Amino acid sequence: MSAIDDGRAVAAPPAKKITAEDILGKTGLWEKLENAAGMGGLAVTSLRLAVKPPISWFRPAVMEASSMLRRCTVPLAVSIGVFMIGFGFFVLGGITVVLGASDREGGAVIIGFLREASIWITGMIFAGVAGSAMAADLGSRKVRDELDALSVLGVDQIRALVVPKVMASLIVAPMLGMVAILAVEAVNFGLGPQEFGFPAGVLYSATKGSLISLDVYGAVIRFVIIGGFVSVIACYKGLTCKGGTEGVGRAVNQTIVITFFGVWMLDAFFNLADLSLFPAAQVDFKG
Amino acid sequence: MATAVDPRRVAPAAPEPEPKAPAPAWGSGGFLAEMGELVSFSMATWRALPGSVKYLSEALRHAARMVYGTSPLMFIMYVFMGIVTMNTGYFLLFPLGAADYLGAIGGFGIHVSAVIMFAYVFTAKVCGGFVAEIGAMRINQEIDAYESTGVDPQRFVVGTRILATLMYIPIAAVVGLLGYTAGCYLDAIVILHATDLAGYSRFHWSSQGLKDLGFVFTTVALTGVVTAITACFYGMRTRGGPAAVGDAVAQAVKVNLVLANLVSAFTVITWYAVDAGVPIGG
Repeated sequence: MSAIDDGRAVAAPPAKKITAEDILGKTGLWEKLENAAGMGGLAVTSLRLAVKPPISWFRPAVMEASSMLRRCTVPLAVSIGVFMIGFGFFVLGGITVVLGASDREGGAVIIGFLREASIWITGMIFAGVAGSAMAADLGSRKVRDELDALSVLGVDQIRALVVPKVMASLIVAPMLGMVAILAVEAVNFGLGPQEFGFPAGVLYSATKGSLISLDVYGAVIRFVIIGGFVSVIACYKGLTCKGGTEGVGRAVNQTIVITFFGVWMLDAFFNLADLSLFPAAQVDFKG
Repeated sequence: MATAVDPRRVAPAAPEPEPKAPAPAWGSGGFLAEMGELVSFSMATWRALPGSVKYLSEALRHAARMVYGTSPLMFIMYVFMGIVTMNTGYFLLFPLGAADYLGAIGGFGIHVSAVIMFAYVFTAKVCGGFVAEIGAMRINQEIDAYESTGVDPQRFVVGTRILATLMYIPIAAVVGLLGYTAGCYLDAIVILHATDLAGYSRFHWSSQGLKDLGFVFTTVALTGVVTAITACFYGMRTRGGPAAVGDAVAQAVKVNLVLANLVSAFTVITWYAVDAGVPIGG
């Protein structure tokens, strides 16, 4: 009963194009892909803005770096120190004592911690303390509509907020890694000689004999990768958190889960590839 | 004649001066005071725990969410842990010409992996969720609503989550050990071709015993309960606007990571300080 039917042929509606979003949108995979693409895009954008001429990130980056260092150092030193006491002395050291080679405990500790344990402990403390603080900071600005206010004022969010955090993380993560190694060695030299009953010189020579530069370079590269990864994920999750009371908490939680997963994936596969490609780094477990 | 002064006509006493907040004991924000609050909160939680058994359905709901949501992540992260352990062991043993004994490292490695990996995954996935949920409930005044309707939030909100954690702990330990063994197998035999399956299994299973399994379950239980209580504490303590929830999650994760390392080191020392439990040698 269409009153306006005047006899003209009605054009058929144009056939709707089926996009990838229609197919994947229902499965939740689309959201994951969107997130991953956004994180990659944010990483590229922030690195490009960091080297583009009006370089304004230096002073805020120094401030960010100092606050990250102040927040992370004590939890990191305590965590890796007690991990060294529990794992290094009573598990790793226990094996060497049973094998009758307790004088090589220093070498086992420096290899095990430089290649694996310090990487994951530093990465997780950095993600859990600095990364979650970054996500909470940006997320709370987002839900208070401060980011929109900045856009209205003509301030580039990424240049003003993200780039200093990313650059500071690239510097701070290797520094924290070195702090972690230092804490391990401090605990080892402080308590080890008494625990295993040999003079500190034995420990020193075992540590020195097993410490090779390739391991140190590999560790620093991994710390830099972890720093960039954690900061980009945290900034992306903070910038895109949905409103509502629970939104910021959810964003911080997702940041921590994703970064922990990434740290472990890196720790598992980087070392496998590194040591298989450079067999020269494999040796020197000597007393 | 009433000589006594009519109490109604006495001028009201000067208002008591507001009690000053105690100065921060150590560090910014009074770290020691915060830890003291945490301890008293955990005592209150234990006291209220028997009362929360009557909300068993709520506890089962939380436990089911953990089983569905966290177990896959737990499995995959333990696979990574197995790969990491095997990498370390292989590249230490191979130069010594002892790669055949890789299984012993794998079996012995449960001392480390089970201790620490559960705590990381649980802190990140479950405890972060606890803080976000409870913090949002606190900000939206749902906790106050529970109190005003006669439901004790210490029982209904906190206690049910602790009960769910206690239910989830054995499942998590089993899932974790399965994932760890799968990761060791994948790395040692499929990727690195270090030994064959028979040689690997022999050393892997002969280097762990009942005592080690007891250690795994004890440690997982301790770290799980401690981190869950800490998460609930920071959730209930959230004050301020919506932005406070994010800060609460960040603070809870920071404290939980340190606590997890402390607790696991403590259990390692109590179980293995006297006897390392290595089935070789004397």
